[in-house]
Amino acid sequence: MVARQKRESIWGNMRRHKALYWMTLPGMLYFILFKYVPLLGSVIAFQDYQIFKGLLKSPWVGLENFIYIFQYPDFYRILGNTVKIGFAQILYGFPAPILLALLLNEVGNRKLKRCMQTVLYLPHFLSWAIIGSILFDLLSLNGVVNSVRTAFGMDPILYMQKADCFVPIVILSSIWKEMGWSAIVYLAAIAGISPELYEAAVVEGASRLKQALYITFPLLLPTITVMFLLRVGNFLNLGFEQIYVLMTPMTQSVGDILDTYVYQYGVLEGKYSMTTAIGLFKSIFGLVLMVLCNSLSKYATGRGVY
Amino acid sequence: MWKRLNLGKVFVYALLIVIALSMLLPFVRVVSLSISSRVPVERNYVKFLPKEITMDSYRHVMAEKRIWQSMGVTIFVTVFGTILSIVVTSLMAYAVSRKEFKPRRGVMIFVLLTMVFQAPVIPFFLTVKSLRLLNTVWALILPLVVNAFNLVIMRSFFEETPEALIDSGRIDGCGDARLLFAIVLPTAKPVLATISLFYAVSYWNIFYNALMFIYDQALQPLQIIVRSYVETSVETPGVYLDVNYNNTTLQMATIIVATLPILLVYPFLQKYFTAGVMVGAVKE
Repeated sequence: MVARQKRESIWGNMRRHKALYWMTLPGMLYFILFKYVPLLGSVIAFQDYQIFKGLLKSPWVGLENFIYIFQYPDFYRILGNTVKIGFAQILYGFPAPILLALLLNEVGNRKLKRCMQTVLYLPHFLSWAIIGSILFDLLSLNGVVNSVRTAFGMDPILYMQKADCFVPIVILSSIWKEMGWSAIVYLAAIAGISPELYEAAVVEGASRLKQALYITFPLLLPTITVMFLLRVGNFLNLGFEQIYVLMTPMTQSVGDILDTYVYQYGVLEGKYSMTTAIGLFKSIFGLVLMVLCNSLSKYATGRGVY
Repeated sequence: MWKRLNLGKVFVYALLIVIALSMLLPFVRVVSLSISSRVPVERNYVKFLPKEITMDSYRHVMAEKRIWQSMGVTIFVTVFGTILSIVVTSLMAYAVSRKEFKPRRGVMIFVLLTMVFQAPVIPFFLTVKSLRLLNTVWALILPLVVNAFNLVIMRSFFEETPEALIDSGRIDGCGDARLLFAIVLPTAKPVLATISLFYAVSYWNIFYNALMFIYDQALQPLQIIVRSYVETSVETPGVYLDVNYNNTTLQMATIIVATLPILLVYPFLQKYFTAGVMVGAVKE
């Protein structure tokens, strides 16, 4: 009885607000076609997918694809690269925007602050293709860095071709690109802190550094926790474009990550089932990590994203 | 006391200036290389200031057919895509912002779930393929039409529209479509500007999707062309001897052509996307 009442009211709602339902239609269609259909399509990870047979007629193989990738020695090298870069990204990349927001907060002059922000947000709007090209020039034999080295009598280094330099270049360039943009969230959180707290601190004789350490930072912690949890969920999502653009044949041994591997063997060579299994492994790994960190955070601080 | 305070200030400003310079100087160098002549560039005389200024690189870049073609593709994808995205996103955002729309919670969960459970690349590729979009400009547009994050931002802005305004519109006999276009959207100009910029940038910078979906040279967007200069960057001596440009200056000129629209538009929209917009998103 209750269920029928509810259903009836939905139909009534639909009749009364027909326009609203029509308005969601294109968007819903988009999410179904480009988000949910591919999600369901992930089942080909459990198939021996053949393009001419399609999803429905391809034979099921159970966990064979997963067993294959876990027995494949290259997989561990690539997973290792991905984990290594992902870990370094969080270790160095995550604190950068927080520090930047704290620094920007110390700029009193509004005009100057706005100018700074314009410059700091700028790299976020450039594609990796462009940033990659600029980096290749800056780090080339004729580039600025090597000009400085030769001016000091040191031998030039081919940075982009050196395996040792790959991870630092990836980390530094992504900090360079996203630091300013990611700081927005923290700046917004800082803007929400009550000025009375600072006034009280000034009365007590606290310096700007002490105010930042004992007022701003602790009040930023909830935002930091949420951002951290979201970041951890994307631990293995390093972003294909950056790595693809910065990788050279000489750095492939350390630079090949899950995403570039999937592109190479999936998109280019058509090993669809195996690479989907890798993709699925990546998604599940991210999800598990996020759930784990979330419950850990709830246990420790009482805060989580859900 | 005041002395220590100033020392801290000096440190903060110095650090910020170094960071800002690290973001500006590379651009100064790109511009300088793009307007310098070949010989000083090859002899490595150009650091941050141009030498023997010439527009020959730009003349050559603009004379290349593939640059025009890719420029055409990128402009079409950006303009048409942004309009389509804004229309679809604001329609949906309006519906889920209205309390009388019963399934609003369900629809939002449906949308937000796609942010948590992301499909792997290959099924996405195969979906686009089975929709027969491969090697068409639609493969560059349709997969990016709605961004869940942008939808959330827009919805929280629409929810701020004063209910009295909506009610007065209803009394005047406005339907939902009229309400959206005549009342809600005009009051949400800042968020429209911001979201348009976000969408425009994602279309303008499209790279991975083009790499996956487009085979035809004539359909490649600008970013792919920019990238192709890096792949051919091995300088062949003697190739450019009788002209005023070389691979480096051409590459830099292409970078400028491919970034200029963003550099021109972005500072004017910047005032909108500080605190307000982002707070709406973080609230979720």
